[in-house]
Amino acid sequence: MISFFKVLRRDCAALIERGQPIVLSCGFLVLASTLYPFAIGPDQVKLAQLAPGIVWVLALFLGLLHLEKLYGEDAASGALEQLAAAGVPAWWFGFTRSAAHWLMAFMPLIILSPALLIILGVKEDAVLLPVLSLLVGTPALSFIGSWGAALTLGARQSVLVVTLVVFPLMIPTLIFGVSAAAPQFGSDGAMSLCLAVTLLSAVICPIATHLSLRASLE
Amino acid sequence: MSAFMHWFANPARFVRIADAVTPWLWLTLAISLCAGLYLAFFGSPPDYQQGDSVRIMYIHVPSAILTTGIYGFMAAASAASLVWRYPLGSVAAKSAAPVGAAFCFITLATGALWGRPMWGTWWEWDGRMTSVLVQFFLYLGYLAIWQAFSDQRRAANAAGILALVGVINLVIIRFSVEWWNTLHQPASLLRRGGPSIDVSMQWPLATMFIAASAYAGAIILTNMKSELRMRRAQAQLQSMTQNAGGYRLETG
Repeated sequence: MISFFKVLRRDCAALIERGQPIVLSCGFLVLASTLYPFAIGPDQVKLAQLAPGIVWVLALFLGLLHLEKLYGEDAASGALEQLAAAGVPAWWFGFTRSAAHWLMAFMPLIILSPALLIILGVKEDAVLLPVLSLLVGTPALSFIGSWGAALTLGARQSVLVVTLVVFPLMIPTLIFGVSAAAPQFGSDGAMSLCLAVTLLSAVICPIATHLSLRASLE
Repeated sequence: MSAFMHWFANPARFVRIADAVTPWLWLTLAISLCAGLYLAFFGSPPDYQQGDSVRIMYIHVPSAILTTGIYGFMAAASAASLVWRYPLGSVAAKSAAPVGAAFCFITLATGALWGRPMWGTWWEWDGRMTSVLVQFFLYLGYLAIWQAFSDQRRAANAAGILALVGVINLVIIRFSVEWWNTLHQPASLLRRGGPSIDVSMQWPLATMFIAASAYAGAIILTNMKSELRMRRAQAQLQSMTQNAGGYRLETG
């Protein structure tokens, strides 16, 4: 078990030391969300209505943005094979890489999201629910995304392929996430369904990652 | 069951059976397509509400059934390939995918053509339509995976996993989209459990469904045969180049 957590710490520490992906996430979010008022118009009421959906769509794109970095370097340097030879089971990568991906992509999003929502015209007292929905739902995007990255490891044009593969799988998370974020739909079930998708992908995606990685490590 | 599968796993035996079955499938297609088209155009009345547009249904409904049916077949074949290392599994799944994708596209296209005069819109974010659209993207992703790897065994493995995860996703999609749709616009345009279909329309529909299934079966079997030949040719090429010594040919 101790070696498991060492791998987890290694994966996350490597990212934070580099820092670059986190800066990329923040830059993408700030730029992309300031484009919406220009595209839709400065109408505060309209923007506030669309804001949860906008933030969730940005979350999806943000998740796709980091996928190619998840395994590429370690596969090229042979670190993945070394770890596998040291007895780290492939399914554990499903967790460690998802955690690393979440820290790269969604931690900056969740920290920035209150500011983004307020820029987009959401009132202060309505900010909590969208942020909570991101907190509950984005881990699912990381689990699904890191599985997609493992599946397309070593593929030609892997960015294109992984986007095509992962995109339909992320739609349920988007649906439940946005519904949980928008109180006007008035359904308490949305947040629990959002959590259910996260838990389900936490179970299925590491297994699928295990199968996918085992084929590429053979 | 497993004895049956092992018996079928011999590629040479499979090719023999497929060779015997395929002409009958083409014959079935020819007869049922002629009969079905005649019944659809001349042998059935226009709908009292929809007029002649109802005839689009005779292509739309068989395609929609086959879209799902072929995905199920692909998933079963992928499971057989991944779990029991059934050698024909990945061949069958790969051969079926383009056919399923084509039927999925036909379903969407004919649905849009029917929707324009009937609902006054090409596209409606209706629950069923949206899940068919997502299924189309799944098919595209599956096809892309096969193209993305030069190592065909690796591609077979990745595609198989994707097909199985896709089944889980399709179930969730169907549920979530229904839920999302009823949340946004309760008044759906599709009548659920509407008036059952008249006998005069059941016949052309059934005949066209037989035609579409025979077509799918014939194409999938032919695809499988050519895929098997391709693999054998590649294996032979590889052994030849290895015997020639050091000289390697780019395959895939």
